[in-house]
Amino acid sequence: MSINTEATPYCDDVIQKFTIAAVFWGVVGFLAGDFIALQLAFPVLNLDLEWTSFGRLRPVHTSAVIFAFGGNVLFATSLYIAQRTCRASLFGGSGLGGFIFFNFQAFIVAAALSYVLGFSQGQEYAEPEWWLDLWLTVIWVAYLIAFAGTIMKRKEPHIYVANWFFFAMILTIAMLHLGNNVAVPVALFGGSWMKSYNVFGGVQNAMTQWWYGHNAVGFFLTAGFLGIMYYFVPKRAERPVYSYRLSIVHFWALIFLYIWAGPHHLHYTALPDWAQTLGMTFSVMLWMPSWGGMINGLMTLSGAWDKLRTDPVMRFLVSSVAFYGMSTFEGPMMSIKAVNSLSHYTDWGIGHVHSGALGWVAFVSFGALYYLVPKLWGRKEMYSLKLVGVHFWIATVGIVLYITAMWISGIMQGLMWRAYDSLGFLQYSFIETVEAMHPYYVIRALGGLLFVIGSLVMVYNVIKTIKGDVADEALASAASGAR
Amino acid sequence: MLVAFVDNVLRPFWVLWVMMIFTGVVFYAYRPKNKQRLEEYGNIPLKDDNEER
Amino acid sequence: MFKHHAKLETNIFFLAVGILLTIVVGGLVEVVPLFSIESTIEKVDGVRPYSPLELAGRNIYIREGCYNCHSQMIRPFKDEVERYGHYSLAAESKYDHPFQWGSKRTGPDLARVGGKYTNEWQLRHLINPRDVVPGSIMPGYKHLMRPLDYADIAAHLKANRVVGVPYTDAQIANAKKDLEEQVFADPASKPAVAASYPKAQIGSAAGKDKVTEMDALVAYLQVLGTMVDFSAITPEAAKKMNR
Repeated sequence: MSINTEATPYCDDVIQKFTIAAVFWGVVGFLAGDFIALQLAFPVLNLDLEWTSFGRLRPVHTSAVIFAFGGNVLFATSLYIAQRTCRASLFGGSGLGGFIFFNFQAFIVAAALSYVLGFSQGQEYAEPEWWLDLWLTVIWVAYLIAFAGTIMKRKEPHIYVANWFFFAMILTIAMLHLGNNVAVPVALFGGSWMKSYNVFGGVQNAMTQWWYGHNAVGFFLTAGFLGIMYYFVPKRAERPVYSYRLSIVHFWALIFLYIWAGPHHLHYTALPDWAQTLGMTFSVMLWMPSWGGMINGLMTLSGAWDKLRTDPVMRFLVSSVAFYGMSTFEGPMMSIKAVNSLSHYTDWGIGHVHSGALGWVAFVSFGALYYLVPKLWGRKEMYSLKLVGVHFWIATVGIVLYITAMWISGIMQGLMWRAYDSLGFLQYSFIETVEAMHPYYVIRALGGLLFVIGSLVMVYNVIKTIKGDVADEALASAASGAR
Repeated sequence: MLVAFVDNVLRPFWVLWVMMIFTGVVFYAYRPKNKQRLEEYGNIPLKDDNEER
Repeated sequence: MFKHHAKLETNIFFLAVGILLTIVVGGLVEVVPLFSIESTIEKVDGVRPYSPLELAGRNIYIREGCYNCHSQMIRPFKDEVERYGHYSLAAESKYDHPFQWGSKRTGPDLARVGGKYTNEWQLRHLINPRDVVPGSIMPGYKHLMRPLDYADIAAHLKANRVVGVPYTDAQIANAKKDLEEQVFADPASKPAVAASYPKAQIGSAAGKDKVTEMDALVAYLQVLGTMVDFSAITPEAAKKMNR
């Protein structure tokens, strides 16, 4: 097939490691999430132990899914894609790759332990204390070197657009991480090694935190995973991306606009109005490049829509793009101040995050993993595509239960907080609004459980594929020539 | 200096300079001259060296 | 000029510069003015650094991840002001490193919880929330009855001073003494800690003879939102002050 006589010796053992880690941490993160969801429905599950209370476990869940699962997926896919689209082997090879891998896994374990034991900076998604932050910086710089080094070695003159997204992700996350975590350790004055104080306080700290927090979503969970979309969707569909020119506009518009959107997390707070207005305006504008990217991903399938029916891996990839479109419509809508006044502080925000996290990030990751695993271990296809289809439907039903429960409870909560009775008094005490949430918390936990079960189906399928097994149905369809 | 530039130029006139940059990017990407060259790049993922193993 | 984009596509250094310029500008325009524009933080009286005991309590609040379920930011809406009190001012959290405005109200806002309940109520509620609020879904924190480790409390004050909290030399020197005094002193005796940290809740000992983590957390909760005297602020002044 290839006209090149010389094949590039890709360094794939590192990619294999990251792939397995991604599957492992995915299950851990989903389980942790479902456990804390159950705690909200049944508080007895906090166990009255300091290490198992919701407040300490929630950062474990968010870090496990965002950084451990998402991070390992990004390491695996970005280094896989960079090698393929550059036709170059990994810079630094297995040595540098292994350094990144083992340090990152150890970092994750250390961070999770530190939360459980009660060490936290107290800023969402930036909980690790200062020395963990420094460690992560070293890992990240090593990653930058491996990625950029691979690009510099390339045989392909043009840098493919997926790599732009990964590169923007790497640079921006470095900037955000360093900018948001500047802190003075108490240890400098002879105190604890496990505590520091951020140099920013109050309103300035709020702004830098949500500049960080929102762009962790924008670059880690969006730009990075768009890089995945721009490679794996064309690859699986066996046709080039719908419009490469649109991808250029998509890239620059997206990374430019995202950075501004942070203040929409601070509507009606003590943040000055001008900053809130800027944040809202850019958040609404962000809808356009987001949907440009969605159209680009979906339309790549034009002329090959039947794959959606025949190939469950394609179904994961395409559905993820559809979910991306949905949550990038919902996001700008919620950033409008009038809508935000109702949605903020409620479960609607949690539902929004999860329609993006489960529907977009996890689904595009599952699609990529199902594509990667057979390729990396030299198999023709996954052990069972039928099980991929089973995973898809279980997970989809789980997401639908999750986000509808959170829509209802969130909007209900927001309305109850502002409800007045006929005498002009607030109609509900706060605890009445908490009690009203109970059924929805149960439904949400059920949705989460389905999502966990789906991921366990994936684990089984991945193990069987790596062992080299082939399910009967796969043999049958191979015989008939269909994928 | 930087603060004054931000306060007096970047912040008040963001609509203007954002539109200029955006128009520039769109113009570049959609110039007919660039069409063939750019769309050809879309094939990069499909010409992998070691595909069929 | 547009042939330069081809450079961006083929040279990773140019691509890096392009990306960095693109991502820096937004932060620049939104973050930098917050430090330079004077009206960002209102000028109100009463906001002071946390007393050593309150600071230790605040660190427990952070350690337990309270911010995951409780906000400390009252928005200027009729229902929120009626439910929680005067909307929050930026000045009220100016000494908060880190800020704890929060993003979710699984439980109620705590920006003005100070003084709303007695120390005894707070204690019972923290040990088992369902003892006092039957429908509560909050975890119990009975482990907070253990002794507070405050050997390095002065170092915490020093670190805070480096990041801009105006602790005086005397406050740092007396940190340990102030902390103990706030727990054990008789409020009527007008102890030195009360002069150094006005409105600090004095004499809240939950344990018998030693300072507990509970004492610290309750002292922190009891000062939240009480530093600014809103009865002294006229509507006109408030309007000028905020937005």
